[in-house]
Amino acid sequence: MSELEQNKTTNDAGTTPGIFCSLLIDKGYKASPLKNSKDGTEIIQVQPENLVDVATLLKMHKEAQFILLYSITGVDYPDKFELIYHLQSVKLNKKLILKSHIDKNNPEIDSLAQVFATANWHERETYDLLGIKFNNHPDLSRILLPNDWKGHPLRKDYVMDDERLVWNER
Amino acid sequence: MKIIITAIDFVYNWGRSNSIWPLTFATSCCGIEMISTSAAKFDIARFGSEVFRATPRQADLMITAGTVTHRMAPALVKLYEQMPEPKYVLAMGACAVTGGMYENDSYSVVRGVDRLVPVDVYLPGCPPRPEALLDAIIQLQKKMRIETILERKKYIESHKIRVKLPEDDSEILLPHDELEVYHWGVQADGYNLNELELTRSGIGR
Amino acid sequence: MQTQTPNQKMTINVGPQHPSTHGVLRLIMTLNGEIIEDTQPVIGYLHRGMEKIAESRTYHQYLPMVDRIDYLSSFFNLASFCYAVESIADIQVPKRAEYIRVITMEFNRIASHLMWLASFLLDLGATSPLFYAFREREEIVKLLEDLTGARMMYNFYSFGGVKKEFPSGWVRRALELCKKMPKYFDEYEAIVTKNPIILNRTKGVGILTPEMGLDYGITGPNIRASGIELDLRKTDPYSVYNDFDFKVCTAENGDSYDRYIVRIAEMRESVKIIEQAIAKLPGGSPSKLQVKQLNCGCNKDECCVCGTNTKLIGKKVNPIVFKPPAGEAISLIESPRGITTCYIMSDGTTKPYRVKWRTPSFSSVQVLPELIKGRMFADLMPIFGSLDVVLPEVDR
Repeated sequence: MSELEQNKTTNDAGTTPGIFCSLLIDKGYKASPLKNSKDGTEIIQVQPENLVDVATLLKMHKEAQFILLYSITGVDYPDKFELIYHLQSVKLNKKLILKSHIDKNNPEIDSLAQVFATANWHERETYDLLGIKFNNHPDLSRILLPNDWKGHPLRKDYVMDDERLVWNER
Repeated sequence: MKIIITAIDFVYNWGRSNSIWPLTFATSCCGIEMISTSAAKFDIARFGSEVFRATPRQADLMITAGTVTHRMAPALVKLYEQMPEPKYVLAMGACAVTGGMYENDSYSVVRGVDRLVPVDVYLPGCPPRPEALLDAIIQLQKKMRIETILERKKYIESHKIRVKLPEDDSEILLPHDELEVYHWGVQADGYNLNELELTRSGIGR
Repeated sequence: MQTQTPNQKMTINVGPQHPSTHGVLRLIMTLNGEIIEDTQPVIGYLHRGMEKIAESRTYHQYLPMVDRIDYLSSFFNLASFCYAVESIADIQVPKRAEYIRVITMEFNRIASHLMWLASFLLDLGATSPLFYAFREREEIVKLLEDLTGARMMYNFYSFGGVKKEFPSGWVRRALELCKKMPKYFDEYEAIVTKNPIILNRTKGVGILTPEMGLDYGITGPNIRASGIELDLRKTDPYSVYNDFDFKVCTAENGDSYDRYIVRIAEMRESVKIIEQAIAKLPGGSPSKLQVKQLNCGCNKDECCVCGTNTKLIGKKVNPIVFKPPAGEAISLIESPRGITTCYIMSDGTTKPYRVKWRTPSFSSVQVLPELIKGRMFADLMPIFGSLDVVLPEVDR
């Protein structure tokens, strides 16, 4: 399996792929495994281009029926954005974490709203608070903040200087 | 003239203060303590609040229990304007009095309900105990009993809201034109004095 | 004079302030006569910025704010935050502290379900069960107030254990309350379960199929009423839930009536868990433990009287400078509404880098338009009430 060895050498964490990572690599997606979390959950890093295909595969394949998406988290690093997806398989009783990195100057990624129905509002919330745009989303608009809010609060360089909000009576 | 009025005042205020009907405006945790006050252990019905009205047209007291955010503010102000005179506001809980524990670094909480509507009684606590809410209602009753019907116009004039409602689709309320405001910045790095002077005169950044 | 044609649709606004006590949620509904065509929920009226506040506070300073995310189940929010931090910083929790955590969490579950029962029946129009349910809730809250000092927002757990020991007489009072509880639950069941009005309004109304439920991310009693056995206390036990013997309550149809049945059954199971936990408490009741510790005094780790199993806090954490190592952790807790998760990312300093809360009511509000499509307007309240939504959890 030269593909597997090739991918093993490109690992930066030096970890061996687990079950689901090998499944993804077998099907031809470039997925690199990261260190397992403390309670043994696998963490896989995927490319943003094939995120929708990877998610559909993980949901439909009979050895990995990940039908429950817990949450979509966005983290703001100094040089990139990171999106984290937590999945759970009810029948096999297993958990999985997917991560993918996006460029900070042009934060765009495909939307998972067609695969998991719960991703609709989670992606709206990530757009609202962090400013990451999701392509092919049914209705990407602000959900938690007022419609005419300026800026995305959860970014690290957010400064609250909107005049309509910061006033005191003399 | 005023000597005759005192007897009428007494009866009028006695009737009003012993049958206050509150409006349910429970946004957050203090709402549960408000419901506990109306349950069987700390009964609020013995103070006259037999029912909690859901519509502002039939209520005389608005208990703002809970955090008020910038998105909820237009709804609160519209409810206050819909209440008929004489009306009172009781700011219950730390979040309604000054913004509470979100006053320091939250970006979307209104720092106190008295930026929006004029308040009669402040009740601190997080959440205040039901006995504290009953104590606040007693204070409000004492305040009601010293009012007189000759000065009704003054009371109505002091019930003006502090913000102006928007005509367009925006959801953030701006301060009223008659108020004199100055702007300050939150979480901004590097103040210098010249910038402060600029923002004070309203020019902004 | 023109009369309104029967095909004209009406848009009404169930506004942010409405008499049912779930919080501030706005529904923009399009009606065709009495039949609901489309609903659009608008949330965000209580968004206080909990996740951003966490980045400017240390871990210990953030603990009081964690309670307020869902005030009816504040022990569960504290538990998910504490377990995540203990997972990052590798802190062991002694057994006695875990048992105390389980006892308080199960009491909180009963109190939350009682509050749900009161508001669900109030929405349907029955005003007297509110007073019955609050009678029990006041007894539980008085018990927890003697333990922690507060009625609703407890702030009782800390990293590595709990803060205080049971006061004297608490264990006896808790056991007495547990003995009285099943009789109170029988009272509710007598009023509600076979009541023809409730049966007509809730049976067959708002059926949630298992596929749709899992697709929308619904967990907790809502999905257990549709037949799926997903209970984190059994499938993926955290804390000491392995030691207890209780069953997972499920139902078959998935309508509003089944969600009510599941929650009443869960309350009874919680009472059983509390009784078992008090019986198996390491060290026993606190006054007896003090006497035994005075007599033993050996200070060895394995001793069952003064060893590590009977302490309240593991390694004492410095509250002023607490720097967990860089890393990330997620903790999943079964709270009364579903699965609450807390994801923490730390970068080695005293303040967390990112805290993300996943709350179960977020998914319940998202599935609401699908459940009420095509039904009459009067079915809105049984469906919405049976989903058990608490709005501060949705908006954080």
